[in-house]
Amino acid sequence: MSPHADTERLSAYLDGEVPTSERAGLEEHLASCPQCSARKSALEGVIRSVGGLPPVTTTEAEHLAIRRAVLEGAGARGPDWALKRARAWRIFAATAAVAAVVAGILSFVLVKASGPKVTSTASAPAPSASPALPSLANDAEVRSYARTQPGVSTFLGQGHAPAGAAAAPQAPLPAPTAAPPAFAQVNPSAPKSDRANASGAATQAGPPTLGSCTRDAVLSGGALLGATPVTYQATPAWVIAYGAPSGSPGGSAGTLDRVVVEVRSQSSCSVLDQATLVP
Amino acid sequence: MWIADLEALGDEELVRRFVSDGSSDAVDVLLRRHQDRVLGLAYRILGNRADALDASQEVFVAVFRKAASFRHQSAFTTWLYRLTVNACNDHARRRSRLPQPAEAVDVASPDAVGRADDRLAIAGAMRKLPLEQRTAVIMRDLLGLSYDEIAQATDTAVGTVKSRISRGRAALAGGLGERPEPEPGEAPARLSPKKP
Repeated sequence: MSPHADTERLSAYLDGEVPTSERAGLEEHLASCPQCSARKSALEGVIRSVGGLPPVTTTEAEHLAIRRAVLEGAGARGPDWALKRARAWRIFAATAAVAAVVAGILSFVLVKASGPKVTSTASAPAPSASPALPSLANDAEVRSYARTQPGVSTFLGQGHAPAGAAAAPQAPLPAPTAAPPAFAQVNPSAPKSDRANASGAATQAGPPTLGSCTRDAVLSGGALLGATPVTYQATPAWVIAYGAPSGSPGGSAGTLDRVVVEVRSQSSCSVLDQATLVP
Repeated sequence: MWIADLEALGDEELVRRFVSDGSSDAVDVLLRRHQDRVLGLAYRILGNRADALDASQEVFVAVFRKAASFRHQSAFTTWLYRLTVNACNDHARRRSRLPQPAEAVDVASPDAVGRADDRLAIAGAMRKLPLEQRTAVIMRDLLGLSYDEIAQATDTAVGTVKSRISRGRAALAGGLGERPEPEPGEAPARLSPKKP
C-alpha cells in the first residue's frame, strides 16, 4: 500500500493545488485507505462550514463612516498638499478679483452700446473665500445660478451685442488667433469626449489658476463675463461665464450672442459641467 | 459627471478622479463596489464589527492616498485585500489581547437552528486559530481566492499559504470534533510545512 497522505497534501488536493501528475496516485490511495479518506472528509466538512458563514453587508451608516474617513483623510495629505492648496486659493482669489473688474467693465460697455434699457449695471460681486459657497449639483442648478450673476443677467437682458460693442472690451486682450485651437473647450457643440480631452490637456499644464483655465477661451474670442467659486457636487469649483460668438470656433468672429457657462474643478481645471444660455 | 457614468469606470480611474479632480462621487462608487468585501474580510479576521469598520476606514483612506503605489503587478482587488490584511494585522497588534472573533449568529434567519449551531461552533474554533492561519483559511474557504492570490495579499510564499491553510483547517476540524485521524507513527509531522 502506498504511504499515507499528509494533511497538507490532502488540503491542497481539495483546493485543486496538487500537480496533475500526483493526483492519480493520491486518489488511488484514498480509495483504499479508510484513515486518509476519513481525514479528507473532515477537511471537507471544515471547508463547507467556513464557506457557509453568512456574507457581510455594509450598512448605510458604515458606508458613510468610511466615506467620511476618506474625504477627511484627503484633507490631511501632508504639508506639501496643503501648501499647494493654499497657494492655489490665493492665486484664485486674486484672479477672481480681476475677473470681477473685467466683468463689471464689460457689462457696463455692453449696456452703453445697446441703449438705456437697463439702468443698473451692477458689477459682478468679487468672489470671496466665504465658507457658505453656493452648492450646485446639476446642470439645471448651474443654469439658474449663472443667470443670477450680474454680468450674465445683464448680458442676457440685452440680447446679443453688436460686433462693434463686443470688440471694445476685447481691445486690451490679445487678438483672436486665425485658427484658435482651444475654444472647443467651451464649445457646447463639441462632443463630451473632446471636451474631456481638452480639459485633460489643461490638467497637464501645471497647477491651474482661474486665469490659466480661462485663457484659451478668451484668446479665441470669448469674453469673460464673470467667475465665482462654488461647490459642485461637493467639489470646489469655479462657475465661469463667457460671452461667446456664434458660428464655428475658427470662423469669422460673429457677435457675442450667447453665454457659455462652465463649471471647472478648482484643483484640475477640468470641466465638470457646461451649459449654454441664450437671451 | 453623473454617478451612472462613474459606475462604468474602472477602479483605478475612479481613484484618479478623486485624487486629481476631488470627485467625491468617485469615492462613493468605489466604496459601494468594494466595501462589502473589505469589511467582510476584516470582520472575519478581527471578529467584531467595530474593529472591522476601523480597519475598513484605514484601508480606503490608504487606497486613495497610496494610489501611486499601486503598480498593476496584481489585480486591484488583490491589492485591496493586501491593504485589508495589513490593516487587520496592525489592529490585532495594537490590541493587547488576541483578536476575539465573535460571530454574530442570526438565529432568526430562515435556516435551521442546526446551521446556527454550526456557525457558533466554527466561530468558536476560528477564535482559537493564530491570526495568519485564520486569515489564510478565510481567504481560501470564504472568499475563494487562489493560493497565488493569497500569497500576494499576505506577502508570503505559496508554500507558506498552503501550510497555513492546512494547519488552520486541521485545527478547525479538531475544534469541531472532526479531528483528522493522526497519521500512523508521526502525528507532529503531519503539521509540518514540508514532507518529502
